[in-house]
Amino acid sequence: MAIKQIRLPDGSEVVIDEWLHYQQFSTIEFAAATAVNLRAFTYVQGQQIPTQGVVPGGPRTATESDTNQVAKTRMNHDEAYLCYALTYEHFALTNAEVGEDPATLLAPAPVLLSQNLRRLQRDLVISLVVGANIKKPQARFPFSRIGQSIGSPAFTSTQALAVNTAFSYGTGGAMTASNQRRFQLPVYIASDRVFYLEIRSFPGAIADLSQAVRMRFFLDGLKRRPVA
Amino acid sequence: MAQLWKIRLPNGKTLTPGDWTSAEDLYSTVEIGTGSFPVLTAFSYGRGASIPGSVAQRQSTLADTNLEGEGNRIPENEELIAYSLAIEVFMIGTENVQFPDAISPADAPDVSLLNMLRLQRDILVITRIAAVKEYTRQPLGVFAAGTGVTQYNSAAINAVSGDPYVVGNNGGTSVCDSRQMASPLYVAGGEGLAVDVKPGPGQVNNLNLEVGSRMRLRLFFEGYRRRPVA
Repeated sequence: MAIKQIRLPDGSEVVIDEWLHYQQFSTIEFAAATAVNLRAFTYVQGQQIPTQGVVPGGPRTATESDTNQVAKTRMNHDEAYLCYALTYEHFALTNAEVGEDPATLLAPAPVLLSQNLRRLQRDLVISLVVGANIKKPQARFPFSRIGQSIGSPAFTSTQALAVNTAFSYGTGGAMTASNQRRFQLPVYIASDRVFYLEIRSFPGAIADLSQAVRMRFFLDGLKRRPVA
Repeated sequence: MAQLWKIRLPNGKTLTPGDWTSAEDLYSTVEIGTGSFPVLTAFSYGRGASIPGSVAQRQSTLADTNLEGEGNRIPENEELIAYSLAIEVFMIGTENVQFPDAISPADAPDVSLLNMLRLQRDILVITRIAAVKEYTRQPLGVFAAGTGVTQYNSAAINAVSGDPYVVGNNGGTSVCDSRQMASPLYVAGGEGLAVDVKPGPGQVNNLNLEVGSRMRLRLFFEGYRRRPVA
């Protein structure tokens, strides 16, 4: 059990906290031609990753690489979080191709085609909801407004990479650590408080999306951990 | 209404609780087609109403606007302090295949560089608050999106035609690329708010779009919003 308070001999109390800069992350997966309505941070390692549509290999069991949540859909009872920003990284689960016999490869998995990322930016709305049965999100943005600060830039040659290959890869802005929209007023997630991140396509199926996608969302901020 | 407006303390003082957030921009959408149009007004409708300029008066969803109520004003239980107006552009549909530009467009929703320059050349953005004053009247390019996709290409092609393409964006694609106002715009609860998207020449000249296709402009007020405390 964590030490939270110490009562001194003179009767005064000292509250012990350890706050550290810590990214909390969670993964979702969805196929092309699906109306995405998924919730991240709703599972822990060993449970199924929220998945929509038919993705290669089917729904997966979460590993350490998919989430560092230790409680489902809530902040652990001896932890708390001050969220200053949201960000993400993306990985395609299928290739993007066009034409037949032979097809032209546009983006081999895990590369996400730049137009596909733009389609996600157009249609997805991301909501951070804190509290049980609370409708008002603490943060909500169309996906385009969330900068991508985690991922790889690419440094390409100017010529075609290979026969029948026309490569294109996209990131949500320049790949720098500063490319995330910092909340001037942070969002506080108290201990044991229900929270989740809703990822939803309000127009329905994402038009023209041609790849299945894995997305790993990050809360960036300060986490209070127990002092053992 | 189960909503906290005021709290009276034992000493007689009153507190007005407010939930201020910087984590939910206020946004609205309009759509531009080819041909002349006088003006399209963003923030003139609430969620669920039809989008100005859209094909068949498309009904708005949360992907288009988060303004509630009848539009043209901020709800009475909200306030806005905006430090930035950012406008992003998507192509919905295709460019005109019969009369193509000299450079092929990318696939939707990317906007070709030629069309983006035409929009930036001809569109004015006019912000009206309280219906008595204008607070902006500048070209579209001033209101950089700060959103978009940074592309890394190597002989990339348009999937429709198989041609190489050139893509544009309303300013840089990173968060820091949107322009911050040195003096913020304040909109009180219940006060009028609208942003007119107006083509100076009466239309966006030479905008290359297929009939029934549109340029979708999504406008964001970024800053602080006061929301109701339930």
